[in-house]
Amino acid sequence: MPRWILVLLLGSALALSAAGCAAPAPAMPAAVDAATVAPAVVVDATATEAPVTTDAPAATEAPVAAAEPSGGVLVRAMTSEPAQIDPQGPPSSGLSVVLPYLFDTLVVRDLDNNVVPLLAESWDEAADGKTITIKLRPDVKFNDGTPLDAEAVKFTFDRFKESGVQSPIYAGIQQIAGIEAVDDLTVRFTFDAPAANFWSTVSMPYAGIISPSSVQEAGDVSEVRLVGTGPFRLGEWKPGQSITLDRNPDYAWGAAVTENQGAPYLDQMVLKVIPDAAAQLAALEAGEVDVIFVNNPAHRDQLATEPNIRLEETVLNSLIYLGFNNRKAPYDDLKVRQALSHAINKDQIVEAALGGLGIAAFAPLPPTLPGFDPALKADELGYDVEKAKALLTEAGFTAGGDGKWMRDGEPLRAVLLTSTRPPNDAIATVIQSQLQEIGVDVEIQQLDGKAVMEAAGGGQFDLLLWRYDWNDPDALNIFLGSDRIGSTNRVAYSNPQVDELLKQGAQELDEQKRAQIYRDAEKLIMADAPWQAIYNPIDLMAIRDNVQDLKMGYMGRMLVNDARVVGQ
Amino acid sequence: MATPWAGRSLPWSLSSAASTVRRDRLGDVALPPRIARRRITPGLVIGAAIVAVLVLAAVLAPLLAPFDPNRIMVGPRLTAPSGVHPFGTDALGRDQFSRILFGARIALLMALLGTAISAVIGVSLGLLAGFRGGRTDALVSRGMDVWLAFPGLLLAIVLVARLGPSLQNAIIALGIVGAPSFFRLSRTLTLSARETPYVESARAVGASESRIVLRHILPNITGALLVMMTLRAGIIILAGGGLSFIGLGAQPPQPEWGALLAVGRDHMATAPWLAWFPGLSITLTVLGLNLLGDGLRDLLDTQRLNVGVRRSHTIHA
Amino acid sequence: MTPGRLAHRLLGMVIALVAVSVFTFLALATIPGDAASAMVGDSASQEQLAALRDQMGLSASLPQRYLTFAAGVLHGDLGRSLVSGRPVSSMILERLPYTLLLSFSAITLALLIGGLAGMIAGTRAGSALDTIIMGGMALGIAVPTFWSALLLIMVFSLKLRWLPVVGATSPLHLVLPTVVLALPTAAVLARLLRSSLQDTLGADYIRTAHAKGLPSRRVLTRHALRNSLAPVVAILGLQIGHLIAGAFVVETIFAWPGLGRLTVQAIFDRDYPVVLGTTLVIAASFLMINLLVDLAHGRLDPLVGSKSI
Repeated sequence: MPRWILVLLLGSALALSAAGCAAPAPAMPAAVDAATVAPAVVVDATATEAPVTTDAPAATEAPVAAAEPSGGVLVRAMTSEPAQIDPQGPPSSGLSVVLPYLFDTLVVRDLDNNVVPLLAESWDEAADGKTITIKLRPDVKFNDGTPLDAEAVKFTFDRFKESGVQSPIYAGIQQIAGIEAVDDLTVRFTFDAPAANFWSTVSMPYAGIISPSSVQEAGDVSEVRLVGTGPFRLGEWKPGQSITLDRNPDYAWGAAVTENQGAPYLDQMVLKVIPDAAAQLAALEAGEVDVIFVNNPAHRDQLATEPNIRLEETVLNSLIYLGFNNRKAPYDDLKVRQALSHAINKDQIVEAALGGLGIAAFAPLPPTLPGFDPALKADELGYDVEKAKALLTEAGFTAGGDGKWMRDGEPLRAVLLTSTRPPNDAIATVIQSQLQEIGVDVEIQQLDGKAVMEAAGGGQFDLLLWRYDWNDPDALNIFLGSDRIGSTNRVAYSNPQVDELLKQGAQELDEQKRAQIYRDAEKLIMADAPWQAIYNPIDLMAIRDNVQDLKMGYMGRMLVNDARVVGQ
Repeated sequence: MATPWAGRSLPWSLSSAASTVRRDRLGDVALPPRIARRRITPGLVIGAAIVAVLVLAAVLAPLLAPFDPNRIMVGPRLTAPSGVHPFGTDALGRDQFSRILFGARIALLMALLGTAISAVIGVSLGLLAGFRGGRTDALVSRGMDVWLAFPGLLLAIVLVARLGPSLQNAIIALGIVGAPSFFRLSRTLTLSARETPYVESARAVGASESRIVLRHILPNITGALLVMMTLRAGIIILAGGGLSFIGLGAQPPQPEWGALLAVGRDHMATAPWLAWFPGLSITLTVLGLNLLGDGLRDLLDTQRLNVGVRRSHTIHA
Repeated sequence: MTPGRLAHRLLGMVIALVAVSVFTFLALATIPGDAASAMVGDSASQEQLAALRDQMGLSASLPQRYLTFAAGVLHGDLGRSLVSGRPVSSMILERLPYTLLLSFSAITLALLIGGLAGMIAGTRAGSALDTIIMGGMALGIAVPTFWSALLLIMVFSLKLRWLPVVGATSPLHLVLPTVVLALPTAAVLARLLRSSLQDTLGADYIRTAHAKGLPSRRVLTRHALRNSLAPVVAILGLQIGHLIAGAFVVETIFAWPGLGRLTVQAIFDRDYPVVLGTTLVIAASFLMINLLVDLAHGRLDPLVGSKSI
């Protein structure tokens, strides 16, 4: 607990008791009052010491000691903080913010989506695709001083397979059949079948390589703060307030994604927890933080008028789609799905609900992933109200006098399920009014992030406004594969032909062939209309001008290795 | 536990019957400073006027609104207030004036239904506890203390998360959260009413318990309950806005004022009218309800009945 | 309050806390989505979920899970967060000082503003000044805090640049959250003090005091004010309780690391040990404060003293 909190607390306790004595009331209640205040102060004075201070290994290196190039302190806002520092722990937005700075992965992706070496110096893939041998970069040290070797890599993935069930890349990791430390710096991965998405999996921050000794040290203790080989070390962590990352002066193994591949110029990076987006914006304008991420068009408009703030944008590997419950009548009827798809005006959604912070999508894969093809636009079920109505008629619906559709005495009305995450409310509202145009009433149901997950997984919807973020075309398998029905294939889409293609794609190591397989799968999927792709989101990074050379990397990651903060 | 005013006649918790007597006594002696009682205060007039406007807006919304409140793109996006759109348009090109008007219906619904739920639960338990006394009283009072010990807004959040977020469930949750304040008030009043001569005489002629409660006690405490209801109504509108702020209130596209304000906050610099109009609507309505409540209290001379009001379960939204 | 009564009342508190914990537990257990589904990402399979539920002890029956929790509490152990694995007690303890500080500063400011306003208005009931002051105070209740907080930030942080926007790293950071939290409470206190003063000023003994020729100011401070304080003290306990629990909107906007934010986040994470822990702490402090207030109240108001409870 900071001293000033303690001082003020004690002060207020004194003031209260003083006020009590001075008041006309008898002294007794005041004394009781003071007594209740005091114990509380004493308790937290003793107890907060432990949780607030951080792990010993990280704290031993004082940031001041590395007094070489002072690139200043970069302050970034984050919406929530991670629960633990463990790449394999429960995923959260806070965790994915912190991970890339503390942990390195075997490979990363550059701005053009290519796989680039990081801890892996080189690799060799067997012809049958069932063995990948990786040569590790020599002279790499974890932030606790232990060396990075093949055993550490083996340890990381063994641990993942054993206890990483909560991680989003767990399924990808499970494909690894065996890991073997061939020599000090050589690791061999074996697979039962070729794993085309292996590189995508191990380039995710969740696949960061962990120092085995930090795991042993953490043991079963509550404060899980694992250590990696990243360009920063975990510094002071004030729960609910901020996490400070201190520069790792020994860092010399950066990937060729930034110009500076040595230690970062920044002395420190402070990640400030600010839950409210409007408050983040105010903090940026006041100069209390240097960088925030923006996904609200109103905030973008406001920042555009600020002379000292610049905006950088990137298209994410994500798709927002309107899913149909493919197993529930009448949405099990292709014509109904096609009809509703034709009723969606994506340009209007992007303009009205997003203020242009997105790109209207037509294919099931975002443009940034292999397998995307502009030619697929021809297969899009584009905005066409008349066609929508004609298809509904073909499906056996008749329009009543009020323009509402009926079939077998049942009106066509839909429950649209989505999460409370902005801008879902605006998108859902626009979709609702677009479907109303063709005579379909929609009731919007917005649930909090956890409840919506359960409702969507349980198929409790007619229409589902959902989003996926994935860095590999295997996304199609995860979100549309038959064997994922009941979990991530929420729309319960099933097409054996597509399944077969997706299976082939997952095992095809030739990039060209693999892309073609996914193109074929996409064509089939678009014909079945299990969902209507709406848009690919754009993320904005708003940066104060005193920050130089801060870049936006792959999947909206903030690249800080070249960055300096001037004029502090 | 904490019902320190139970059944006691305190200087500031006289029953209304007793205070009428006192007022008469006070009438002939001019006392320094002057005590104003049983009069129509300016606050009452202003409060009543604001609430009247709210009710009118709610009732006449379909006639007054120039546009369908939920229809998007009836005008350009984010236009400033003008003759066509007196309160401007939002990011989806909806007419904010129409949305505010229809929002008055939601505010009124929340206020009426929410307080009604609180009142029905609270008053029936309060009458029961106050009239029966003894073990029943002890038991119900304990239960209510648990209820009250529960942090109000947290209780509402848990309830809404449990029931599923919707306007209806938000109203139910806020209604449940507000019940203890009505319980305390009605219990205290029942306790004192029980001892009054008219109840005793009703008892003497063999009137049934329920008849005594419904015909003799309830009518005598309605004034105080009315005051309480106006004050609670304001709190419920505020708390409903708070639930909307965290996404657990009304569902889109319902023009609930709190939801409008939550969106408007993001446009404070670029389209300030999106925050100001819903913000002022909430503020004025709650202000009006409070002024009305205070004014009614002065008018009906239920001043010292604010025992229950004091213990009201406020929520900072 | 006799020792027997006090013991009786403390027992009541324990029962109340048990009831609060049972209710919280049941409510959380029946909310759609559990901590396991809350924890895994968007791409987890059914098997992954089932495995995680086992790992987290969520597959046990409800009564079993409650008893495990209750047994822990009896040993002074509030259990561990399902999400971070950290002890709930240390999570609460690191937030508690911030919550206490914010509550105390808000209640102090509310007492100052509310006390002053109530005193002026109460002694001049019916005057124009009374109307203006009470109108202004009513405004304090009426503005939604999630809006007023942002307005204050825009004026004092962005325009005037006097105060910081977010965080809790200096006393200056305390100012805006305190003001936002204090205003509604000040309004409640002012209203109470005013009506209570009006009542006292009309009472017999005050008239006697006047009749004895005591100067007005003296009557006010020595007699009227003291007796008017009783109801104000009574409400204080409730208000402090609400400040602790209800501050979460303010904590969210000003990024203040208090208990409210922790609890609401835990509700969204379905992290029931944390919610149970914070709810118990908040409820217990609420009950304690009100016990103290009633004790104080008994001293302030001789009429209440012996018969209280």
